[in-house]
Amino acid sequence: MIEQIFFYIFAIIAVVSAIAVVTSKSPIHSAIALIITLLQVAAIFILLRSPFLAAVQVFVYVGAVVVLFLFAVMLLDLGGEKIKEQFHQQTVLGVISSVGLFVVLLFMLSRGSLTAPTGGYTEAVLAKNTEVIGKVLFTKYIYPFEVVSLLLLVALVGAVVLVLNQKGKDGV
Amino acid sequence: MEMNIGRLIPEFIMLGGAFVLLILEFFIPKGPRKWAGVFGICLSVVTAVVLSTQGYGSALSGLFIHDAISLYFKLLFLLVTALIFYMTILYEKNIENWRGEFYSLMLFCTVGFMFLASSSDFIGFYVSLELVAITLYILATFTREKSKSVEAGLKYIVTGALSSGFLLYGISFIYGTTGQTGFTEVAALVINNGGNGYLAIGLALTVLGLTFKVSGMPFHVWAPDIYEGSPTPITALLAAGSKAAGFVVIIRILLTALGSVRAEWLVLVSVISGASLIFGNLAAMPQKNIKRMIAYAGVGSAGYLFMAVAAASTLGTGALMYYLTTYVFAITGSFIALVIFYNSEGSYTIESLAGLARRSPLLAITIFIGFLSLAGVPPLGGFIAKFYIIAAAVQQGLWALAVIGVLMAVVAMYYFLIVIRSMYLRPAINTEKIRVDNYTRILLYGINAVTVLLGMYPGPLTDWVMAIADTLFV
Amino acid sequence: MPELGLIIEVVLIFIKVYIVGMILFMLPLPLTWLERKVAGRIQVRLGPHRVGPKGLLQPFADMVKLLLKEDIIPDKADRFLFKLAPLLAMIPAFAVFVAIPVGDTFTIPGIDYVFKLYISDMNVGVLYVLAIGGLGIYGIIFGGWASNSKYSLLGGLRSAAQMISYEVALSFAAIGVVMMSNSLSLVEIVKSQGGGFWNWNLFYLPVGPVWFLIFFIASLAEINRIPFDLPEDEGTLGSGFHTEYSGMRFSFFMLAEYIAMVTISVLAVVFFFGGWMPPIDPATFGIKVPAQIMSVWGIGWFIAKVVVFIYIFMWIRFTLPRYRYDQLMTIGWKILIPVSLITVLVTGLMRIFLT
Repeated sequence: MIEQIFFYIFAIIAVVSAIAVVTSKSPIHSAIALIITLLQVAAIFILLRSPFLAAVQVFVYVGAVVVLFLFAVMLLDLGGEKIKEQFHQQTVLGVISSVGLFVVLLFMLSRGSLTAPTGGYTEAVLAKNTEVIGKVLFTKYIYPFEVVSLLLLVALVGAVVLVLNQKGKDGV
Repeated sequence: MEMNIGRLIPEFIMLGGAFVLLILEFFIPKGPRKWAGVFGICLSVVTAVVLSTQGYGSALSGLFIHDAISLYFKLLFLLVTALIFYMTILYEKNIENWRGEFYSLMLFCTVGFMFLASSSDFIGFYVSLELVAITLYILATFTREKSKSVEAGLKYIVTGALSSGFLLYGISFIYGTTGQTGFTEVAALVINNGGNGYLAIGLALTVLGLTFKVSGMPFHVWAPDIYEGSPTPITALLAAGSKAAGFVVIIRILLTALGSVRAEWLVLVSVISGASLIFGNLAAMPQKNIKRMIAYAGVGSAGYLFMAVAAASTLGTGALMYYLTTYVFAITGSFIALVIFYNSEGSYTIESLAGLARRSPLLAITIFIGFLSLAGVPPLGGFIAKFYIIAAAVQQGLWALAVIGVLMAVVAMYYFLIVIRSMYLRPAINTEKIRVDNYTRILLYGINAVTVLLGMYPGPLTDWVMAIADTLFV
Repeated sequence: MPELGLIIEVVLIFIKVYIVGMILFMLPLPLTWLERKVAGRIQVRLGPHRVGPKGLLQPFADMVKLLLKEDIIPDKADRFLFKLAPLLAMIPAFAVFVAIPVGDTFTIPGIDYVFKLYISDMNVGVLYVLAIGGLGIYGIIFGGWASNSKYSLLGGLRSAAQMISYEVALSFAAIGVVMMSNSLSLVEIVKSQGGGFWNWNLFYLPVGPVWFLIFFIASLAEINRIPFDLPEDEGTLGSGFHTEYSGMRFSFFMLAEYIAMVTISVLAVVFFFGGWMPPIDPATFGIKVPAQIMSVWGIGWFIAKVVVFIYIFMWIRFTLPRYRYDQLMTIGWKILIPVSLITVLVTGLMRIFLT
């Protein structure tokens, strides 16, 4: 019961700040809203007995990714006034289609039901959450895990290739 | 848990090659890398041979499977890779400040395709898809000094991110309702429990997300700009490889995992199919640039392929594989010809092709055969493929789609004929002959022969793809 | 109705949080005095000596000064963020201490109540500390941006880049500790180092000292202290991200900085120097000491070790010159990270083959 109340608190804040991310005029304010959203998601992870995911969420997304966003925003000096120009005549179309999608989703959700068996993990197992994740990641899900490492390598190589000053002679 | 790492040897060979090229690049001074291209072609051939000797089965706790479908598609991917490596060797000099990572990244992309063909799990499939997507983002932006290329890469990333969002949201609904991520596990649960609202949402969003990879409606908007702006070999890779990779996943998800709730997705897939067919073919008509035209024609092709999926029968799936094979040959053949043309002319507009038949009969006949095959003109491979697909649609009672398909084949004929008219009937502006070297000559003869052969004598390949398709519907 | 034990637990947690918070609030007072005295000693001068005996009352004078100063908000500043930034810098610094154990448990004699000498023993303690500790950066970035001043902005930018670069090495050091101690819980990490100083992670040869060096350098950069204090490089940036701050808001930044220094000292002690474990455990010589005495003795050792580290940080501050920005990046990306990667490999092999 208490958990549900907390869930709704976190979820509502998350949604409201997610809306703020896309509506605020200044990119910096968007970033703040994004931080709040991500923190709420971390909180929901804790409610779901996943402290490891929560910590990683804060560590990676809030601690590093958004810092990089801010770094780019500040470096490029993205002002608030330019944002307005980007909303041209497609605004109406965009609003209509997203509202339409929302309505359809709501209708489908009302028809839905969970058929999945729940409660695969007991409280005792969940206490060792980190251990469980570690084991599953390196046994059952080793394949996606390794593909992700390849993906990161490719992204790294790509970032270097695209950013390196190609005009310079072997220049760094 | 069984690991069976041996089943991944083909992928490991390709990965090893990618790493070797990546590391060598560090030690070798800048300059052309023809040998790297040749290395890539040899690697693809070796991998294909090793792949053919692999037995069917699963590996890595069942998240990686090797079966008839994955074998077929992987061979197709390796073929595409080899041809596109050849195309890149020809194209190399057009990229200012050429960097050898291009080849390495293409190998990574192929590995991604191969992983996609072998994924039997939503998580594995999603990360493989992202591996492919990120590699392609980089490759599309590779000629950074051209603003078109940067625009292409940026648009590709933005639409790609959006479609990934749809896809992940959909997958999370499917996981939420079934509690499983494996395709076969999901299939088992869905058969027992039937569909419901959550599953329908998951399904719809997943399919919509996947239309991005195959440039079907509604995530097709990236295609023309990116086809036009990317380096031409990457355009060919997007057209041939990415489309095939997208459809192997769609087959696995819609036919394997969710085949029992066909009623839930039939309407959606049919609408996507019809819309892609109509939009792609009509929009291709007024195009002046060949790459843009092929992009829109590609949207139309996605429509045909979705029609084959909607049929959900042995004939349909076999036709899909047949279509992709003819598509690969038509696209790579005509793109190799276009690259050679571009090397001498520096343009891709339909006007600049005027009089090509007199300047280089071989290039003209290659483009002629390739485009007519794409349009589906009788003695060529594309005709048989379209014929099978429409037959499959009729067999399953999808009359509306079949009619649209036939009509749009006529429209396709129109815009491909514009190009052919320009090549054969228009006087050349520049009458200088275009030289084609002997290796390319042989290769183009070969590709043309295959395209014609697939149309005249479809028996063996048809038997093969139908046998593979049969394994899906036992 | 919840049971009595639970209520007591909750009340105790509140009390502990309050006590820790108060201690942290008050800590900068002695620390500023100590820092100035250390500075004076290193630079062969007296340091503060007029206000009170040996200048002991100097921090209070400073405090009064800061409280009474005019609170300036620059004209075109983003007012909301400008006010928020000092808090964003300060709150994570405090929040980290939720996970820090100063000792194991203390059994109150007579009623046999087991009193925990930490607020919370999370099973992801290491991650929590690094994650929350890393959030302090937002105070600096937003402070720098909101001031609408180029010096501040540059300070914030530098800070962001520096923090991203060194967080990688710092996390690697934490991974090393986790591998050596086989746990993510800070309490377990300390417990794994019990029994004598040769069991400390520092002496997990040959990788222990390497991990310690990586951790030490990376954390110096993380908390923006000399020789990596480029975000507030007074030679080129005025005083960096807090150029425009004055009065209490400025003192919040100072507070956060001092607490960050304490945090890093505490983490170094917990990770590498056996936390509350005394260097030589009487139990190894068969001497039986009551558990309560050992607990108090342990807290003493913990504080002593932390103080030594704080002293080392001050010592470094007044002896080393500042690095150039490119040197900073070179150290981070081209030295610390490759070394960390190799050390992860070695540590892993040691874990597999030596245990």
